[in-house]
Amino acid sequence: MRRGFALVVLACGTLLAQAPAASNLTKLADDLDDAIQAGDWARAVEISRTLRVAAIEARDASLSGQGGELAESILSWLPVDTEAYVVAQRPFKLPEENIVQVPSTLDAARGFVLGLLLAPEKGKLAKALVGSTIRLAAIGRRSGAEPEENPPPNTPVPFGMVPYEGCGVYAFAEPPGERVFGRPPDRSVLGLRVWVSKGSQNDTPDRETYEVAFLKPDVIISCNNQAFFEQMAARMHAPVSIRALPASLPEWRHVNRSAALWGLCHYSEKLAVLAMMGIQNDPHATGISVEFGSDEKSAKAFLLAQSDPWADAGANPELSGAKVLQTSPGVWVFSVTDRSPVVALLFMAYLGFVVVI
Amino acid sequence: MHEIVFLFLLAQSDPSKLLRDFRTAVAENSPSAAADAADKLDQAIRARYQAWLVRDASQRVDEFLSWLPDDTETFWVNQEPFLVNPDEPPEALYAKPVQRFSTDRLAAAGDGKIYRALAGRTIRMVASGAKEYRENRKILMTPGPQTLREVVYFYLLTEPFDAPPADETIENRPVWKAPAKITDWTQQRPRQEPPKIDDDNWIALARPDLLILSNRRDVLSTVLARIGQGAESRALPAHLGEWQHVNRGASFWGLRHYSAPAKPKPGERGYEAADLPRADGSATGASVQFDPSSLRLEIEYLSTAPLAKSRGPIDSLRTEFQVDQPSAGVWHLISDVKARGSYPVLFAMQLLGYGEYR
Repeated sequence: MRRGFALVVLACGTLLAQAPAASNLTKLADDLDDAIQAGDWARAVEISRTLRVAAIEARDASLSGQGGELAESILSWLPVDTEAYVVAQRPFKLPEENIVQVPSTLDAARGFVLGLLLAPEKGKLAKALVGSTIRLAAIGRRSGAEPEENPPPNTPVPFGMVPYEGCGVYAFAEPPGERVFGRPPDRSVLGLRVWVSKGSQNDTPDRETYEVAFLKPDVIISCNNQAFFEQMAARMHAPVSIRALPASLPEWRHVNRSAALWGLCHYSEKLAVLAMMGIQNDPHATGISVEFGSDEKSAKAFLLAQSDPWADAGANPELSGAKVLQTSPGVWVFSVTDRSPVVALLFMAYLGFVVVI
Repeated sequence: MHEIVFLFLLAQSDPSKLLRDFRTAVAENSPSAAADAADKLDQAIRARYQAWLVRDASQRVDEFLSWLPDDTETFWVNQEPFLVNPDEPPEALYAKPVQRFSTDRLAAAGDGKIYRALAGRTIRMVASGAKEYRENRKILMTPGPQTLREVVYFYLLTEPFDAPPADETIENRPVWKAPAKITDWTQQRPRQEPPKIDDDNWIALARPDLLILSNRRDVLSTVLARIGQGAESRALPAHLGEWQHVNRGASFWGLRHYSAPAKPKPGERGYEAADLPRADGSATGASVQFDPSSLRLEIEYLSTAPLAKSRGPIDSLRTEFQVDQPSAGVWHLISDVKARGSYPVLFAMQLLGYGEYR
């Protein structure tokens, strides 16, 4: 009875919150109509901009309610040895390829989370999903076996993403339907219909095998490693006591779970790729937490290390305006408030998503 | 078929219809559909607003042509309004090459003092005319080096400009001296950094909503005198054949009528076959149009000479453009800038005679 009452109160609260939003949108639509009828395009463009922002905020508010719960569930499904977890929880549209505009800082960071959705089916899956609204995208990663560890002499490092093992989970505002694959599934794993295809996130073609499935009609999982996928599928079906990235890790203290995009990485011994790229020069660094703001341009990272990892950042003109502060012993905060896609590259590299340019 | 497509696009961008779609989505309590509709509506309204801002573009262009010196060789118009944002990082403008070429000299002139004073204002139209080139034919680079000897820019604002105190007056108009230190790529030598040179610029407030920039004080004075007194002749007269290949409705368009010094002489590289974006010896002119919404770039190059096959290991002309010859003496180049990136636009600007100003 008490539970029923609580649900009624919650439902009423939701309806009451929606009513002002709808009336505000209707009022803006009326004002815009007046401006259009009057041919006052200068006023119309102002109202239209406000209306667009208000409508997107209303959409985000309606979609993000379920996001926190899903982000928590995904965390519980990730294999225990997952090192990094990133969640993009502000809804956004899957962009077209070949965008000519320079992306915002937030969009650039989202690009990494989308990586496992863009590569399968030789990019055809992503093409079929262009324009769809994603209400939440999350990706978990661990260091994988590195086929390039002993490459033949003089083999260049491929441009693009340095390989990792991981899964991405993508929740859509509307169910995309299996037609986006354009073909029947290849196999079944614990009741999940799985599409298997070759693909790559770097310029070595067909380097990886992707396993993609619908968890629900509006949720797609895509993994670039069969074992990672099967571990996640198994953990979805069987409650587990030990989870990846446990709540006791110090990185969680700096995670802002209300940010448009947040993530953390707890460095393992295997995360040698950072040192290989010359990024992680502090052998005592234990991990990092990052957040990207809804304003599309601000971003912040908390690196847990003994020495300042960003002492040289000021020399990089593309990072001008960045601030580095030591907020407490061993906690280095790097923040930017201006649009800077380079910062997304930097922060995501610290999370283990390293791109060779 | 074209009419059907046009009507379809018109219906898709009709603000009243999109507003009805938005209201329906709100009434049906569908926030995602409402946000999608609001996004499309905003795009349609912005398109209408931009069209409204340049509603008088044709008259303004005719004025600019009547003010420019008669011997102007090249002229282009950017009629896509944009907001001045001096804090925009340089890499953001790489993706907006037309805006980059519209503002590069203004942003550099006088350390950008006038450009910064325009922050937050909308420039509704930019046009530029130029003549005389001093090309270093040994340099093959795109974007090209700045080779203009005389150039004039017109910046038409949406509102009167609250001008800072002027340095002087010319023809009773306030004028600011705005020199810039730029790289002189025409002096580049192998294995040497090109020298930096002082380049003069003057900026005049010709009308409350019109700024004019020129790199020559005497040219600026001529233009201002023609504004005040009128002129019986105009730049690039209407009888020139190049005008038949110009689409003045395009968001960006331009034309060039080659003077003899702008073309190679017999025996020089590129005389027999056009090494585009450089003209060959028999070229008469060229036209350019670019639509930033479809990102389609078209060039018509007027010459009876063939196009050179390659200027290096990669035939960049045929890589970047679809090339055909619809009639004798007309070469038609099309590029999908969405797929190719901004290079074809830089190429087109070089064809019009404009290089990087930095």
